[in-house]
Amino acid sequence: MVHYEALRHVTIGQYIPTGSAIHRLDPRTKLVAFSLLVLAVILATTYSNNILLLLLVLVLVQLARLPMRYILSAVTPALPIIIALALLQLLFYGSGSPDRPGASQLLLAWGPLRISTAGLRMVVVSLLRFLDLLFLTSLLTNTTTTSALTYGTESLLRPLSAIGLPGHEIALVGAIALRFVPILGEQLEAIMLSQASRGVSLEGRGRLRFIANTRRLANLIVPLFVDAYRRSEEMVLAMQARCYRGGKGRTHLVELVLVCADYAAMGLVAVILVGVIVIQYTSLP
Amino acid sequence: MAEKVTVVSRRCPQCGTSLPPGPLAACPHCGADLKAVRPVEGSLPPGVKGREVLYERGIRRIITAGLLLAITLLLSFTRVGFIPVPTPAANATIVHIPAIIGGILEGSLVGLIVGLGFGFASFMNATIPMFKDPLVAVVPRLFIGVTAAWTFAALWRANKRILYTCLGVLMVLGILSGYELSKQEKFVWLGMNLGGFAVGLAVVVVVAIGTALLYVWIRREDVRIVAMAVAAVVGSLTNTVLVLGAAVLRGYIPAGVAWMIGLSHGIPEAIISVIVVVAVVAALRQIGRGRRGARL
Amino acid sequence: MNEVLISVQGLRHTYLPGTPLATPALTGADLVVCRGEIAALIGPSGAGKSTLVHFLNGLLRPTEGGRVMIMGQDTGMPECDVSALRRRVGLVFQYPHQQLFERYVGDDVAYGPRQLGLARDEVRERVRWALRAVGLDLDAFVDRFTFSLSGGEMRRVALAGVLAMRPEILVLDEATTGLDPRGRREVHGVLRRLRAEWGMTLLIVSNDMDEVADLADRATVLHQGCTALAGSTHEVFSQREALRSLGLTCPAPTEIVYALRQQGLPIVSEAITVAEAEEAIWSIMKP
Repeated sequence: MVHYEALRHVTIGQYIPTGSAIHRLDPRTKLVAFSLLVLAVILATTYSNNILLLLLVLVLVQLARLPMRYILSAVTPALPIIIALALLQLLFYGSGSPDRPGASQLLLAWGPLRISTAGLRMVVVSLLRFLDLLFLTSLLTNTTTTSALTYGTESLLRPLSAIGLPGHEIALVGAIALRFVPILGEQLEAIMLSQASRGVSLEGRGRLRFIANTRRLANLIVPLFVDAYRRSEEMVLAMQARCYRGGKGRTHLVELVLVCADYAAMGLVAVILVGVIVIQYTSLP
Repeated sequence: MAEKVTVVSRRCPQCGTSLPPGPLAACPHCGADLKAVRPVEGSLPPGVKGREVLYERGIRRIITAGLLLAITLLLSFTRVGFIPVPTPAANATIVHIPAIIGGILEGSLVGLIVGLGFGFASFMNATIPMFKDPLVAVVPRLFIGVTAAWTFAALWRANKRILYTCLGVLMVLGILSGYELSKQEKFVWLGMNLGGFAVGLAVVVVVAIGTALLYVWIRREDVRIVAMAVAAVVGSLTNTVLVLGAAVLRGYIPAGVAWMIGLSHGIPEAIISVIVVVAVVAALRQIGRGRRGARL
Repeated sequence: MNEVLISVQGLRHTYLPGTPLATPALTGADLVVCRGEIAALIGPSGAGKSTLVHFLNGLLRPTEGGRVMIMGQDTGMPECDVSALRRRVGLVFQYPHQQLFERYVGDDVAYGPRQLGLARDEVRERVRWALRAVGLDLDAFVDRFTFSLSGGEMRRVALAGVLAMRPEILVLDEATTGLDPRGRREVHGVLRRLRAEWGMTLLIVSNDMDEVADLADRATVLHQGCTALAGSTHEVFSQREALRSLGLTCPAPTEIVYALRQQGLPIVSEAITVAEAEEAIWSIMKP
């Protein structure tokens, strides 16, 4: 039975307050650090780089006092798929990765299956990278409330207005979206209940009836969109009535201030990024 | 002194309510037929600058993007958007559809932003390595709304003859490729040996039947609905092709597997996209289907 | 005594069980509705009225205690046929635009009958009947876009959509909240006609005491998930102190009669509608 009630309480990015040093950092610092570290993870393709990054990320997670079990529990349902895909990568990976041209030795070959060192590296690096990103996203969303995140994003995007890009507007899009998720969730719940009351069966009826299932889903989605559209019309009027003029010259009630800890954190992350790039170009494995 | 500016008349001539932008067949309030309404040359009231009329479009885009992004997030985080399909793949989703709708309704910028949001949500939510890579989860999704927007913009006012011509071209290409395929000896695809002639013949038959069905449908249907349907297919395929392509380029899956996933996931998803997008946009813009009324 | 159609005993339900947000929605609710009567469910917001109503057509099944018997069927039993139940118990929700989803009015009203697998002529007849019952003309409305209707029209179409299934019991969850007085009177007229001409049993969920006094024969008061008072509307509204302690007021005529009695006037009867109050006041003014 679908849990209708749960639709109203969709949580995005569970905030876990543990009062650590990382929780206290300015959201802008965390966003910038997150982006730079993600970049570092993408660039790293060697074993040594990835292992170092993983160690670093684990240290950060410990610093933030986040429960490791909780973070990893999200992955457990997907473990079979992960293992299957990893095996696929290992067995069928063709030529060497373009990042690191060089000799890729064939370890095993059997018919269409071939295991090479490049393939092995690919699999291990993918897994390490995956863990890094999992913990990094956790570090961001579990230590920062969504309102702090939206404020931080808006603040960071503000300088873009100077060069003509709509920074404030993009942040506003995000804020509106987050604000309306529970409202639309409630709406969807009501729609599902009222359609169920008119004899619509909500459970899918077998795979072959997928056109019928799609129609049924469309019947749920159309009123949701129409409702969202109606709300958007009202919001346009509301914003115009309040003389909304865009982001130019907007001030805030509560201003974010950067402190030493923030600068230190950002500096550290920058150093790490440089370090990763350097190691990438040496001949470490 | 009032500025002279071309203002599209936004009030219903019968009941006077202000109308949302975009092509409308009937007034949402009184049901009056609006097909005959033409843009009106007018002047703005004194004190209102021309820029402010345009500004509403900006606000509308922000809000539409925000709400569509909200729907995307809602669909991402609950199990509502999953439809079981009769192929080896588990489920097809509709999470990419708000991005397509954003592109069709408000243009490529809104489509881009909703796509970005979708990609970001997908990245944050992902539990398998392939999707935890921003280059696979985020970057390809930017284009869903954009391609849908361009396709729709190109087709919605098109003469049906142009559509028939395109259809004819596609049919010729399909038959030619079927012919070429049949000339080959045999195929090795996923380890199966297939006779070249049989494959070519199958392709020609499918193309012929498909063309006939499409012709009948285009003829009967409002051209805007055809445009929406094509845009939906394009958007959905952009999602499938670019994401799987990125996954292959980054080395997560071999090309053969990508093809398999693409066909088994991508085709049902495209069909689902057409059904849902047409249902939603036609309802929002109040465009009637083939027969202009209820099926009673 | 008429046949009992709905019997709810000691129903319990927790909202979002097992999560940090779990709250008890129903803590032992009772409800009895007999055939042919108009019953009312009243209580302050958050008392659990909507939750209770969702049990009446099988949207929720009793899993934590209590029994729900609808027309002889126990919804707690796994063999209870829920889709048949939904055909016989029609539920109308508060916001009409959550209930309409087809593009044309005719299709939306016809949705229920089509789901039942009726023949095309029968479907058309039902749609015509349902639209006429709510006061809309078939030919004018059948091809209108649902999302282009006004609020009042949408409400009627939503009601028609449920009526087209010809339910034996009609449950209206706050169906007139937010309507202007005239709209409310029209809806009341429709409901009375449904009971008089078609023998439908009605259950109204409402916060509006005057509406309940006007329309209903019996009332059940729900407070914090549990039934506090039940009985005929006269019985329930005569217990002014009890209602006050639950945070509810009496209908305006009752309050007026009470106030007059406090001032020393010898009014005996408990009036709950304007007509009864008028009668009571007139009876003591005659010499």
